[in-house]
Amino acid sequence: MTRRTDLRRGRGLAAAWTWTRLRAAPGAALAFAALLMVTAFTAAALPRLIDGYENDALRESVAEAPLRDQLVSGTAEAVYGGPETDPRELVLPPALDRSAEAFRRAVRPPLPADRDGAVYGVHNRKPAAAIDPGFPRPSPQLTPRTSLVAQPDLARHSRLVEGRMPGGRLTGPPGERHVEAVLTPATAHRMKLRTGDTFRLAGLSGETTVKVTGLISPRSPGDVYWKAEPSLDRPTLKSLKPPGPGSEPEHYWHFSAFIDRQATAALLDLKDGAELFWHQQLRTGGIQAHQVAELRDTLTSLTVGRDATRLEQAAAVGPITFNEGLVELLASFERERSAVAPLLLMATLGLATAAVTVLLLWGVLAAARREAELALWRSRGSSLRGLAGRLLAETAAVGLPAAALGTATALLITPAGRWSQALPAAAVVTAVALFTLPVRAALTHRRPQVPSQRSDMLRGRRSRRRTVVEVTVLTLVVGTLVALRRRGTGGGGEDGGSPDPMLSAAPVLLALAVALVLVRLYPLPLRLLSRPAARRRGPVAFLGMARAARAPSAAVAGLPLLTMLVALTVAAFGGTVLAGIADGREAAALRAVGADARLDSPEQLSGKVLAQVRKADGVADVSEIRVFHGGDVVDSSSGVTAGSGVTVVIAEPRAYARLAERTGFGAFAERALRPGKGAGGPDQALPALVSAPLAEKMADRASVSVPGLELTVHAEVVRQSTPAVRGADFLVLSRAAVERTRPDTADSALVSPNSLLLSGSSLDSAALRELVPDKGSDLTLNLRTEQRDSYSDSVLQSGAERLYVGAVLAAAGFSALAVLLSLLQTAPERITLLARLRTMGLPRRQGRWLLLIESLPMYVLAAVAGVLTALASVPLLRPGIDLTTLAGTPAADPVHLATDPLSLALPALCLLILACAALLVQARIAGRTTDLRMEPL
Amino acid sequence: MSTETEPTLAELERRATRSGPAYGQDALIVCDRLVRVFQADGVEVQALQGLDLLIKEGELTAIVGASGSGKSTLLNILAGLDTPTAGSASVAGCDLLGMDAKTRLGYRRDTVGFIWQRTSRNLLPYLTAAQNVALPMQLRGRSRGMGVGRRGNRARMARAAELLDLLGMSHCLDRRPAGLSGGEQQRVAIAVALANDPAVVFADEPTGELDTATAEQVFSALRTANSELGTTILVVTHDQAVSSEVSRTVSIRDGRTSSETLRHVRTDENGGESTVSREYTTIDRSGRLQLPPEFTEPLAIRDRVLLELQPDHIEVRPDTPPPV
Ligand SMILES: Nc1ncnc2c1ncn2[C@@H]1O[C@H](COP(=O)(O)OP(=O)(O)OP(=O)(O)O)[C@@H](O)[C@H]1O
Ligand SMILES: [Mg+2]
Repeated sequence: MTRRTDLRRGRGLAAAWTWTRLRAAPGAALAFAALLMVTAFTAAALPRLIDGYENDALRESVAEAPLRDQLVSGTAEAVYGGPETDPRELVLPPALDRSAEAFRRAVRPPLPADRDGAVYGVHNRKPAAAIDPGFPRPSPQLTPRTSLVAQPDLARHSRLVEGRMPGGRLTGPPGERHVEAVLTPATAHRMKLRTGDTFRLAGLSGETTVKVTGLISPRSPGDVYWKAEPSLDRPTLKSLKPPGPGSEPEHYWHFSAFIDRQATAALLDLKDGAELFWHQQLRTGGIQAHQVAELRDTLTSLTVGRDATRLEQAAAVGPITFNEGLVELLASFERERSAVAPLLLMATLGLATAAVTVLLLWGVLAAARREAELALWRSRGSSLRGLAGRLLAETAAVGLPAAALGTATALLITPAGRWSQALPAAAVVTAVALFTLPVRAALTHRRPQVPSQRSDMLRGRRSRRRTVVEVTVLTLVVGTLVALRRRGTGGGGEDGGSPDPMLSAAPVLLALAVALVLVRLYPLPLRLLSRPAARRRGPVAFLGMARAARAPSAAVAGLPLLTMLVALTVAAFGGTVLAGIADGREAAALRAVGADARLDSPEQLSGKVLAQVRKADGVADVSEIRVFHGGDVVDSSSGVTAGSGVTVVIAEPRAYARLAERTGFGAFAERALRPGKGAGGPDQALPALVSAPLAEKMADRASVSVPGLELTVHAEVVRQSTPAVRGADFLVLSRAAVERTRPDTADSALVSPNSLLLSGSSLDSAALRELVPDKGSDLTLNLRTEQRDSYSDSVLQSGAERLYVGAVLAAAGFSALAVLLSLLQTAPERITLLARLRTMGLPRRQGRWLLLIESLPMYVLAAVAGVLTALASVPLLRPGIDLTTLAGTPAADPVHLATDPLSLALPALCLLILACAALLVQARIAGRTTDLRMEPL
Repeated sequence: MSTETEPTLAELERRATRSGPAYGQDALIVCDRLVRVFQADGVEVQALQGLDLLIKEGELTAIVGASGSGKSTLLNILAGLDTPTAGSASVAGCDLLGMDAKTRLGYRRDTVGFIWQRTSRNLLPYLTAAQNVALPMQLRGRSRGMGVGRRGNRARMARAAELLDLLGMSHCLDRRPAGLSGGEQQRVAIAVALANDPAVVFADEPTGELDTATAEQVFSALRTANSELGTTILVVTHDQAVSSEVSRTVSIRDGRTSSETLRHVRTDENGGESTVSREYTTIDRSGRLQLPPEFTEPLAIRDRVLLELQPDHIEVRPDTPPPV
């Protein structure tokens, strides 16, 4: 080998620095790349996932709303004597088209207008009474109501089925007007009209006669053209509840007839004049959840703000009233979202903290691992900037492509959502990953270090600066928590606006505070413990304790501890939340159904059904009850009505008492409802189970009347709830007792059951469903499990839950990674120690113990602290977190955070198991290693 | 050692500020009452307790002393890796106390080289021998010497090869430390220390991990560097064989220089050469004298002695004459 070739080989030395160094430890470089890739992926994907989920939830709630609420709709009046001088001008096509154009322009971004989904027109302001007697009348006293509608391009949107399109000419003076109109076949059929028929509408003075000139059928009946206004393509049955108690609702038909656009002056003759209307559909796909506030502002401005003035000027049709439906829809979505948001934010913060700490830990550990190497660089004359720069080049060479790859993948697989959060998040993560090692190295090697073996002693030195920093951070954290707690209890969610980020940060802050304290304090108990350990005979306890009690470096021991604590807290707290939701749903479902299943019928249940139900698979117990709604309770002594609309239940007491006991809804002793001795005869007061509010209002005795039955009762048992009834006013009687006082009712339809409450942990829902035919039966079946599942079927709830679980799991994964990293870092040292001790005759089993005793105290401590932190965050967060929205249960059944032992303990146990497993694997490796020269460099 | 001449004004000023006589003017390394105190767990350890040392340019000096006497501490201070608590030290005109971070960095780059005892600590494991030698030149950067880019690289590699060749290591150019024996590693480490042509090379027990034969090789490499390149070399050693081969051995006791052995070659009448070595005890600048235990113990000298000034020497007697 000549000198020359040697020289050539040495050429790209400077350029290849980074490459040479990386190639020397490809494993570490690859692991770093993988870690950063996963973290950047998570950072970029999570905000977009949340965005996408919220968009889905919003679109779902928009899509599920009635069409009218999905539209931006406005109306303007055109009546004689209104603010505009001549309403006849307004209802004619020129004015209408001009106003429609103005309206179309006004609905502009950020409102994502759907250009094809717009319709406008004019109709009579209130449906006019169609006074001909030939019309069908569901309630004889109510006449049908008619809207005369003129929408542009009617011919294009419909097909003429028979006859001809209406003419634009009005004949006759006001009060005796004749106008032509067409109907849809469905309307004509229902209203019993045919082409050529006429019908009359009540007007301001006199009548307007409408002549049906033909029938048209919609070309696309689902189109906004046909759906924006009610009853366009077919009549709708409207109901009306007349004032006064006990009145039955009454019904009438509402239908529409289409007139020509030139004939709209006819509308002005009708009772309430004419109304111009405009509807603009929005592209559901174009609505973004994060824009909701902005959309609402835009809509509000359109309704009352500057845009409203501008629109009214441009439209020149007088004041325009907007439909509140869409704004309401958006507002209610925002309310729900802000109920769910703190939880998601909490999980996100936990995940972010765990991920960032793992990256920090990686950098700190890498700096520790390479301490000797870096010290050599420094002592050979490397400048601080040069050192940091070289390390940065190293991390960047590996990290930048990895981060880019991770981010790109995240952006690819999450097509929805914004970039504006994903990219900065990924950038922050990448920066942390790239800069930790150089910065940490620069800090440690600020002054060149003497490469000595006394590093242990040096590290053990407590620096005053560290104490100051720790105390400051601790004070800040505790101060924040205290402030938070005050505010939380003071009036949580008063503003109901955006989620309080500090509230969501509470678990993380708490974990941070506890971690700081723990890192400081945990050697103390160990030192105390190591004293008795030293007195014992075996070397294992003593050695293990002594090693465990060595003061760890703040960064090396503290970061994994912090990660573990944060992940444990978030995981345990998350478990509590999820358990709370599950419990809440169970409870609400049970509350709603009253048993595992409930079969209701308005009439008496047939014996056949009863027998079939009893035989059905999985039915363990059946409680037969008769339910009367709307019973009146009158106090016997004063004659004052204690309650009307009381639900009266006549139950078979034994089964019903068992059910009450099982469900926990007002358990009572069956005996209590038996009538006293010597009872009998109609005057005897029956013992009753009475709801607390009702019991307060009625005195000792009261008379209860339901259709066909009047009984005297006294409140024997007072309970807050009972399985059969949801409401607050109820009264339960024993069937046997009723039959004894009123022998005439025995076995009559009056007391025989019309409801069944079924119990059984494994009810065969299919078999029960078979008992309830789809059609032609008044039986309704409610299953507790189905009821429970119905709570979680909105995207907002199920999506939030999924994301939450995902984030918590990811945080747990990162904390597991932190544990493994910290264990790996010290592995060579431990393995060498074990091997050395083995040569001195330490048995293999004891070696394993040594490892466990040495390392486990920290993990046990972290586990216990994690559980305690989670436990502490439950009362801290309870006031600020609304689980009811997340659970999807009705507001009457609020769901509360409750401490759930299992979900608190489970993450901690997992952590311990993981640590033990890793340690035992190391013990095994040590068992195989024989190279004692292996020294931790 | 300085002869009394008329002091210049500057000299007078220096005396006034330093409050002492001109000391070690012509020496390359000057340590004046060097003190280094360590704080460990609240306990103070005085590693150096007022050490005086003068070393002239081109000297190859060995430093010996019991474990814990402060040898490594001294070397680390001189190498610019540690700072003394008190006293003064200067190497090749650089004042080790008054340096800021930047000059200290330049000092480490250009003025001194260092070799540690542990073979694995001297070299970066992922670089070849030649690259390791080239590293300090590269770290020194383009400010001085080799130029930039490819040309600079070639020049650096040439110098690395030259140095390794000088130390008899040309066969190891492209090998990584893992593929070298301990002795070879230390010789490469010497080349690394010499890379930037420093004024002084410090070696802290460079042969501590090696067997005698290998130690001999490494030491001869150091001697080669001293004789061929004229580099001043200060080496800490426990090895008797090593210390007997240098012309000057300084021994340190309790953080102070206690005695010195000087050797020189004398040619007798027949032309045969023999090494003559004489042991001296050092007397520090305030007149303190350390008597070695070999002298004090047989005479049971303790606590105090009687001194008597004779025309050309001083007599030291035990306080009480031993019983006859
Ligand atoms: N970083 C330090 N912290 C605390 N004490 C130290 C430190 N470095 C050295 N010492 C103490 O200073 C004294 C001198 O140490 P030094 O390493 O200089 O001795 P040495 O002569 O090199 O010993 P050896 O021959 O064993 O290497 C010792 O008592 C040692 O305990
Ligand atoms: Mg030493």
